[in-house]
Amino acid sequence: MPDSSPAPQPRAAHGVITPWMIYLMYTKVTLVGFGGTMFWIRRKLVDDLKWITETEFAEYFALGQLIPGGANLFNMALLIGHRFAGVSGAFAAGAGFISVPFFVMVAMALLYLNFGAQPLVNKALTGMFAVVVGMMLANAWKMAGAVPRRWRPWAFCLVTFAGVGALRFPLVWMMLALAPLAVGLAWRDVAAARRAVAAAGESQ
Amino acid sequence: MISKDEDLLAMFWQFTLLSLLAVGGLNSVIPDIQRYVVEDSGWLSARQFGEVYALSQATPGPNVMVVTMLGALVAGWSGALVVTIALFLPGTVMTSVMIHLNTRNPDTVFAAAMRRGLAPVTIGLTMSTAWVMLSTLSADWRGVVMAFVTALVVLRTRMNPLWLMGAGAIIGMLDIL
Repeated sequence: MPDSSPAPQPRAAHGVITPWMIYLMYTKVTLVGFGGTMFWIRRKLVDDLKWITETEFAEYFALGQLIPGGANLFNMALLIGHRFAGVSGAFAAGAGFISVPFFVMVAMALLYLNFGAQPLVNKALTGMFAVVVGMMLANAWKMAGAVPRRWRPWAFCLVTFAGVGALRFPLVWMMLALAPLAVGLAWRDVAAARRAVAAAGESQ
Repeated sequence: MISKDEDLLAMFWQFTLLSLLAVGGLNSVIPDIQRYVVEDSGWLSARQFGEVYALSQATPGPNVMVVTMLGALVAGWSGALVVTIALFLPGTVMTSVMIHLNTRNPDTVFAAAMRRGLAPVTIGLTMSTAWVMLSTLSADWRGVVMAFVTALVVLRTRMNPLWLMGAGAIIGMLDIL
């Protein structure tokens, strides 16, 4: 397999990267990364270890988001692991992402089963839940600000919200109906825009 | 709690499907996970679901692994294992295919169309998640007020979310909620 960097970049200053190093790195960042794992992964990979550059990080992140599957950062971990140590590197990164947090999550579930109903714990959890909902509201608000001020993106956004959020239609049917249409229409726009750019380039 | 193998298998397929549909991250499928765990299966109450979700956010580890906690609560170790595999399997397969095909250029027309077309849908899903979780809270107006105050703080300041969670826990314990 050729070097899987998204774009040729000057090599960062690091020696040989072994699968074990990749495993340890991902174990560490996922455990520190309360709340926002992405922040810590970027800091470790780009700022501390200098394994990849800022641009490469952005490209890997975009690629990881594009690949279906609930965990974009996990997809990104596989790509980065593969880049540095092939298939075993990808395994190491994936294992680092999951293995220790798996036991931590199960342990928390057991604690919840045993103590979650205790009045004090339960009240603390209720308060935390209200905070989490507030964080979701803020997140939705911020993201809504990023929707382009044109009618079509807003139509897709609001139809999705009405269907999945307000009316609680099953997600499968909503996605089967909306995703091909949304991607198809965007495809037409992107292709037209690139043709225009190409034409402008030729006419110069 | 479930114990039969066919139930575990059904749960596996359900979470695999949800993972595949999760454009823009697992948060966008939280309403459907809630529907499956709370309304269709009756394993947890809506309130418990919210508590578990909050707990997972405060636990070290990737946020998406809230499903591991849910699996453990519903069916112990085997449940945790089954849903964790279901969560990561689709991404693993797709990423392997991408690596194999060597299609790493995120700038093809198709890739750009995916990003641009699905972004508004993803945002609609994020709004849905906030809405569904808010309606879980709405039995208690004080919780709703606290959620909106939190949202304002998050939007106006750069405070670390962990402090907010800690504050929420303390306010809850003081029985103000």
